[in-house]
Amino acid sequence: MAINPMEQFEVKPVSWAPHPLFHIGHYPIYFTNQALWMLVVFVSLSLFLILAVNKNRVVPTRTQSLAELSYEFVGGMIDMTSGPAGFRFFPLIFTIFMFILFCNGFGLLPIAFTVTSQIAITFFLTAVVILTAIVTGFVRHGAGFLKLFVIKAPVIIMVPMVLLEFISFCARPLSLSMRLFANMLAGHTMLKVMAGFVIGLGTAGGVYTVLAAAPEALIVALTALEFLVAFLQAYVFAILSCIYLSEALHLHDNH
Amino acid sequence: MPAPATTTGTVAEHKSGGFPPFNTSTYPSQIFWLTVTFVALLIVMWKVAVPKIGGVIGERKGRIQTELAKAEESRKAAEHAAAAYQAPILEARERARAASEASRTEMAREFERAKTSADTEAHRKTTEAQERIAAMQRQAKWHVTQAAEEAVVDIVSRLTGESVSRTEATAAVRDVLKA
Repeated sequence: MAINPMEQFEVKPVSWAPHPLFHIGHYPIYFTNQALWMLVVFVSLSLFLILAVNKNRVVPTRTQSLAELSYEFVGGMIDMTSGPAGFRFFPLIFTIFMFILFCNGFGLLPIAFTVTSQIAITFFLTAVVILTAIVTGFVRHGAGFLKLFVIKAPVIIMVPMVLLEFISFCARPLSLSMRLFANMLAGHTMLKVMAGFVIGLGTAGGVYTVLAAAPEALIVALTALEFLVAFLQAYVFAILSCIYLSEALHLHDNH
Repeated sequence: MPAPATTTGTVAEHKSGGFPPFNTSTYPSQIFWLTVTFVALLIVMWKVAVPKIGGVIGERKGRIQTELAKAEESRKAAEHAAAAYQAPILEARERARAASEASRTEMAREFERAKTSADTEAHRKTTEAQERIAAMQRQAKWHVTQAAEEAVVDIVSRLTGESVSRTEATAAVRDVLKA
């Protein structure tokens, strides 16, 4: 049996709701495997963060200290990139970080769908960040926000620099969304390919069955690596969001 | 080999095949559910979780501040108490030192006095003894003179048959002793 390593990324309606729930315009909306896991993330994340601190212990339990740790981790990120003014974006950054972290984390369960392995998802999250940055920039600085593209330099250097800055600004949504998407996609594809090798070799019989241990060991190692990637990519996405929002707040002042 | 059964047969709009993340027919469902869950999550975080966790952390920080301030206060109180406890001890020690100093000088004075009186007594006794010795010497000398005079009278009478007066003998002995 051939195993398609891309099959895991197919967004498809769950088997118990094969028909569109409703239409928006003429677009059908299904309850998909991805929707299921986004709801799992939403529910578990909400329960975790609310129940963890519900008892409000002075000496925190492990769960409570995890919740506090997440909070202070994101707080540290914002403080580091944009200072006290950045804390107005705390709920947004916190939500994005925790949502991506949990989507990546749940995606590592063998039966789960990896929500963040879809470009539509990562691009949407990026759009939220970039649009927030643009709106903040114009509300705070008016047309002065366009100074973001201007660097104090002689005109001969400044003109091409403005062009470069503008291209760089436009490339941000692409790089931000592609980074997360590609990391998740690549990791899970690798795992599936290795798993295909294990099944292929394992069912071939004879000496091949023994050889199947090699890709199996690799899967174990890759899974460990994927846990790191899951956290790291959530962190990278959040901290870049912080930096973009910080630029909208302070322009180039604190750079 | 039969193709694996999927639900795509029953759902025409979600096409299968190709590179799944670029399958635009799935985008409306993806965007819809992401919007729903993300907005719901944002509201829960914003209105419930973030204030709650922030409150817990802030409360602990406040409590630590209060406890630290209390501890500082207690430390100061303890320092005061220690000072109050030390003061009488220092005072008593000073008193003891003064008392011992006083008794030491008193003793020295007593000793000096005793020594002086003992010296005087010893001196007096020595003088007495010397006087006594001198008297005894004088008496012994007188006895020797008497004996010598008698011996002179006796010797002269025996040798010469002449009698010598006591007065002459006395003068002769005196001359001899003087010589």
